[in-house]
Amino acid sequence: MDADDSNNAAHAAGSDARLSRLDDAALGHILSFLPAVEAARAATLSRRWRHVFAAMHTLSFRESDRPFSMGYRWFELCSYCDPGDPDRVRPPRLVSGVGAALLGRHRGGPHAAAALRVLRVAFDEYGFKGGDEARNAVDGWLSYAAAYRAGGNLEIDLRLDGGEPICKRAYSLLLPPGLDGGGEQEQERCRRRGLHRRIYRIYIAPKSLFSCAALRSLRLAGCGLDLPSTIALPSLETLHLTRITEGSRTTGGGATAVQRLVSACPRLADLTLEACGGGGNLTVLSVPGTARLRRLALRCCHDLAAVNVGDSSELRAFEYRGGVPKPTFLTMHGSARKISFCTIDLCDQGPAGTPELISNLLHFIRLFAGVERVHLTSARLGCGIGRGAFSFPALRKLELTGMLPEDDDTASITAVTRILERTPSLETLSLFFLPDPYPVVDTTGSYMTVDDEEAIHAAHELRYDQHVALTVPDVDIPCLRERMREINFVHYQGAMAQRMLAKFLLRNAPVVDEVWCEFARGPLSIQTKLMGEIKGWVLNKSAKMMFC
Amino acid sequence: MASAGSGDEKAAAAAMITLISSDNEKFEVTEATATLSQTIRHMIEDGCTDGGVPLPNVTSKILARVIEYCKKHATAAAGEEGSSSSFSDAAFLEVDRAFLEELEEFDDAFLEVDRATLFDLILAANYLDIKGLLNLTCQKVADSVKGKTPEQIREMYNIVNDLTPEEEAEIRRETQWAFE
Repeated sequence: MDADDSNNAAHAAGSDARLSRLDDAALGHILSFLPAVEAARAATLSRRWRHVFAAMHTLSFRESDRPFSMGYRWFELCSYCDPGDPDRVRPPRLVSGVGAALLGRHRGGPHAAAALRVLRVAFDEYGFKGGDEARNAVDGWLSYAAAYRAGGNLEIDLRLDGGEPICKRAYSLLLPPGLDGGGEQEQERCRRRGLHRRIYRIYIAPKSLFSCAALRSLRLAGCGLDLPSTIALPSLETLHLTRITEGSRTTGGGATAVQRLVSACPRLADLTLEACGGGGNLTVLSVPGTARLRRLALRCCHDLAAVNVGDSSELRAFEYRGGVPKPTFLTMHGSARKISFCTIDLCDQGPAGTPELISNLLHFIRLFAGVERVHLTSARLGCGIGRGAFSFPALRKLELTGMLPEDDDTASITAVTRILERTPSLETLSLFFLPDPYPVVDTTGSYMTVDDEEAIHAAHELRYDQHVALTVPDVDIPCLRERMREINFVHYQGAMAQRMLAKFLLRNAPVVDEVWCEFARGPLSIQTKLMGEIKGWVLNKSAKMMFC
Repeated sequence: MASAGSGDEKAAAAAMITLISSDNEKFEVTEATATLSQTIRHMIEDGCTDGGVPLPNVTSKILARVIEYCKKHATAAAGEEGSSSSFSDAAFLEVDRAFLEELEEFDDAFLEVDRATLFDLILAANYLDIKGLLNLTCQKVADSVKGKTPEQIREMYNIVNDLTPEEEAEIRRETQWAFE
């Protein structure tokens, strides 16, 4: 031991010991990038590190980190299991841990703790289970953050929803009725679960949070909102709400809580709403013109029928996930000129089949005519948008995600051709192939399990049929001929429709100088065959080709 | 630089700042590049940059790298005027993926340095108050220790454990919440 120590000490005199020579602020800055549990354990490194925890400006707690993921102490299990009186549920390790950590910042005296910039707590393992003790604790953390914040720059990120996926609606091709795993039933289940949550487990954010002048970024998931009569969030720029329920004592009549909150943030620049407003709580959203949004993301707010953006002149990015929106869905006041990035993710069946849905989708897409980059996800790859009059003159990068079933053969080529004819500036095309549909009917209402993942992998295997004739049309699409520099395939399985589409694109794109292909899982021998085939299709033989 | 010329060139020259490293090497940079450092920005605002800015804590080797970083990122900062203190900018920058990717590649390459240089960069970024560079370098160190046990971290960075068993027990008791 002694010999070791002196040996180490001699070594430490070298340049490598410099880490400990950084000042507290720099060491605290380094630890701020780590989960709080790991950062706290650094106190045992050496005397130098003992109080560095107090110098951290960002504290991130996740229930899925050990030891929090161990949940409840065994001797508390009985009261936890008792479903009769949820308010007597004892708090889990995460709750006592966060409290102890915040107090621990002050062990070195009143001035030791650095100002807090970010407090993140995610109940991402078990979710928030209610109980007065836990509720009071969360209130306490928020008050702490407000009291020890760094000037006018505080970020609060509080996720209580157990890390559930925001929505379980799956992509589906047209399946026979009865095999549909999503849709109405699912909504009903969500609604019932929401109700359950409302009664037993809801945490309602304290009113004082909504008059915190320093708050710059707020993320809440799985919380209830019961807003004060006056909201004052003059610095709030980023607002991210996931699965928010209206508080038990809702603001009677008129605007819903989410709407009131959005309306009360004059500097709002980045707004994300996920799975909000179920049960008809939020059908219309208006973003006031004082907030000059730069980014707007609406995911799985399935009851939302109309969104009004008061001033869209600064909007750069727009993201949407849900069913095909009606023509009246999005109204933007001011120019949409600056929107350069747009993500549209259509769940369920997307626009498949009915002309009305396709025309709705086209109407929606035309709102973003000036974008440079689009990511479009739909059950059937590239579905629907090729058929109408629209164009993306500035589009440089297009990403398409979707399934390409075997029966598709030339339909996808036709669809992609139509899209490419309308994107004269396109330089990069990426295709993400989703696995073929697997009619898994989820009856339990539980979220994605290992089985589901296995099903995905099972559906995601390589194949190669060397006897099939791949006849693809020779076409003359200007952007493909003159501008296309990069073509990417992700989860390429070698199914016939995929191979035909790949051949069609590569055969008609002479100036491509980068081709990237990520194969689905499968034997190397098939990969090699598919790889050889793709290499043969690439016209520009000096193009950079990457396979993995 | 030396060529005397039109008013335009003079104006451009006026916006240049001279930085002087600890080993007395002079670096001429544009004001936009220099003001990525809050420390230098304040000096410029106070009008005390005539005759160059001495940086006694930064060697020429490190200063050259710092300037390389600032030059690359000054263009990014110019596009994001008035939001220098914002932490949510990453989300907005996402908008311009191509540029962001280029910056990321630059950053990755920039970080390929030995540990001693990395710490010198942290010290310099800390002293010059260059938020982006400090985040970048500190993140690199944080990533290197993530998921490691204290013993592994000590070994990596040659940290001598000078805690007595009593002290260590006390720390463990104080931070019991973080241990299993």
